[in-house]
Amino acid sequence: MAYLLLLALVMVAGIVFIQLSRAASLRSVSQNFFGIGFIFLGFGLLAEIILGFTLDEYAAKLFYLARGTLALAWLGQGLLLFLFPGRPILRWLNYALVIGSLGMFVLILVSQVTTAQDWYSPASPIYGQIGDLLATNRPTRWGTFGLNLFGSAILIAGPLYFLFIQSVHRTAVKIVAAVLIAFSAIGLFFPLYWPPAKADPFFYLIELLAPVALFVGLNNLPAADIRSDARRKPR
Amino acid sequence: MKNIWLLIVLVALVVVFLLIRVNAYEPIGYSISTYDTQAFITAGRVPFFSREFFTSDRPATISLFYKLLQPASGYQITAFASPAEDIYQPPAIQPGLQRVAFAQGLLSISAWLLLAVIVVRRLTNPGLKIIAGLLILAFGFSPTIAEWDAVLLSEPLSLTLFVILLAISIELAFRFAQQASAASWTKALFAFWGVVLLLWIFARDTNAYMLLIFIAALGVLLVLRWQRKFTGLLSTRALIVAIASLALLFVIHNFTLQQSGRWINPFFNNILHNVFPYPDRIAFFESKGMPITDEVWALRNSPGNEDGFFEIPELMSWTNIHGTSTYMQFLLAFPGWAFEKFFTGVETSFSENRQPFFFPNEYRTAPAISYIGDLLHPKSSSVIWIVLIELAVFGYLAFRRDKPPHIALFLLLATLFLGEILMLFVSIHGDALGTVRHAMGSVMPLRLSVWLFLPFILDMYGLPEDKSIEARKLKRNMAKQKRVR
Repeated sequence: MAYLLLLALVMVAGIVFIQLSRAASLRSVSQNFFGIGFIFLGFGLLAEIILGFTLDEYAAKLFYLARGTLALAWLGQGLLLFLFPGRPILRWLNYALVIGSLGMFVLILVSQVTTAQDWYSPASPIYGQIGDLLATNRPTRWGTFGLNLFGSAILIAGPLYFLFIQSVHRTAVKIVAAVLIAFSAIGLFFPLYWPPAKADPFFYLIELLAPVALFVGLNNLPAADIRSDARRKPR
Repeated sequence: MKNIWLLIVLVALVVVFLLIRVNAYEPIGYSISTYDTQAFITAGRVPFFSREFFTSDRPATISLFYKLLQPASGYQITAFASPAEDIYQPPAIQPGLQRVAFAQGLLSISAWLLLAVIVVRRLTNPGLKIIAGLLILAFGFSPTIAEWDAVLLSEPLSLTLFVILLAISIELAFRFAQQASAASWTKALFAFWGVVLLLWIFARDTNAYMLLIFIAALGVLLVLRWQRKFTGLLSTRALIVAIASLALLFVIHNFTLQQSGRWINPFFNNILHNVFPYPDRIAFFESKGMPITDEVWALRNSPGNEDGFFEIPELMSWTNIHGTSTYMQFLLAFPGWAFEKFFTGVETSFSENRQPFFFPNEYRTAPAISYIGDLLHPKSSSVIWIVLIELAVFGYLAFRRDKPPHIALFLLLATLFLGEILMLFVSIHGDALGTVRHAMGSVMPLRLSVWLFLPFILDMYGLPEDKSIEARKLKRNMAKQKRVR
């Protein structure tokens, strides 16, 4: 069922185009962050597909950087900007994320491929092999973990905050959107630290459904409604 | 400016894929013959304006193709393969037949380009246009399709005709939904669609079953039209004429098929594999009058394609009259087995995605191309479920957005999906041998659907919600409430 990875890539590529054209028309920073987050997810999937064929050093690094380090953080930052538009502190967080991402890029670029390449198996998921394949140093590993934790925490806590604190009216659409975002964040975070042992249908379905659920969830969080809800919220 | 860049990217894409198509496979014109090739050559010699031409041993479209391309010096088979007998030869230029192979290759390339152009034209988002173009060309120029174009069988031409039919159908769906009256171009396109449909139906026998689903779909439209729930370019009269024409086409095809007797060999294969090993099924056929004599019974261990059955007059006269109807009754009498066989047959049908007649040239076809080809042509029957989910999402979005072109496209794609499943059922039950090859006509479109539906779904999802639709609905509801009051 490896074709589901390609299907996921096509889906994410389409989402990127939709997201970026939406961001351009809305002139929205949060939508831009979502778009970039999905670009990272897409590069991660592309690298995964390449690594499913053969071991390529650049593909391994691309996977570690895009999927393993940056995707969740940028998506999480996008949600933060979406939920709290116009907060000055978030602008500083944007800069910090950009600098952190550049730093991680350099760190991962200089990492070397280890002898694990000798027993690399293209048929097995890259998640369980990437840790052995790249000789990453402690700052790289902790930086990666920090960014993933930051992104995942926002993607899981953000919808809950939106539902129970920010919104006055909890409609079915809002609840479903929040659940989709939180579950997709879990689906994207878990394989990175609890990698699947084999490429079974469940693994492929998670790879396919997590980005889609995230996109659908993010699209159904009503931004205008949040603001009007916040104004109406009793003090 | 944006459009020019998009055009440049799309043209570059076409050029790259054409280069791959030409360089990564056997040169266009190289071919491999099979036992059926000789049958096509023979059928092509029968005069076109004769009853025998349409009731010959081979489907009429393929015979016509061989007839039209036959050089004065005739055809000569010099590269032959029969995987069942372990006979393999590399594809080569075969005198006369290189014209058939060249036409097959050229038609196939043109068909995939046509489909890509039409789909790209009908999408809104520039990024999705690129994705759609990339996917369609990658699918159509993958080893699965490109290698088949070198095989001298009915499958490649049938697939090519399907792709052309699909492309024109998509274009017509949009035109019928958008236009108030048919423009002359639309009429010309519709006439061309009719010709392609006719050729496709007579290219492989299972294709005709798609007509039943077309008729059912038009019937639904007719009912909706009578209930005034459907308005469009297709008037009540046009729908009735279309239903009658398609029904007539089905009857004609069925009649010529019955007369041709080309269904008898697959029928005997089914008897050998699905009936003779089971006493209760033998009893069923005996109760229907099938003469299972000692002579017939002596052939029960044959692996298939048994000529001996044809030499038993008693059996042949019963088969000619009662064969098809009895086998249908048999499927109805054993529904559990029929469906079980279908489900296992589906797994088998999807289990291969390359032609079995020659070994791919690994110097030309790089492993990376084969890998991408395998991703685009999955060997998993889960494809059917994915297509079904995509179709459900497509339908939901189309009706939610209330855009007539998208609704029309959804109805077309849903109809084709049902038709492909029916064709798959017929292919699996039609012949106990060669399931993978026989099912290719429905498996390939199902695999294509995985990639074809997605750009349309994403494009629809990305479209801004039309406020006028909401306003229209509100107005409609208010009017309804007023009437109720």
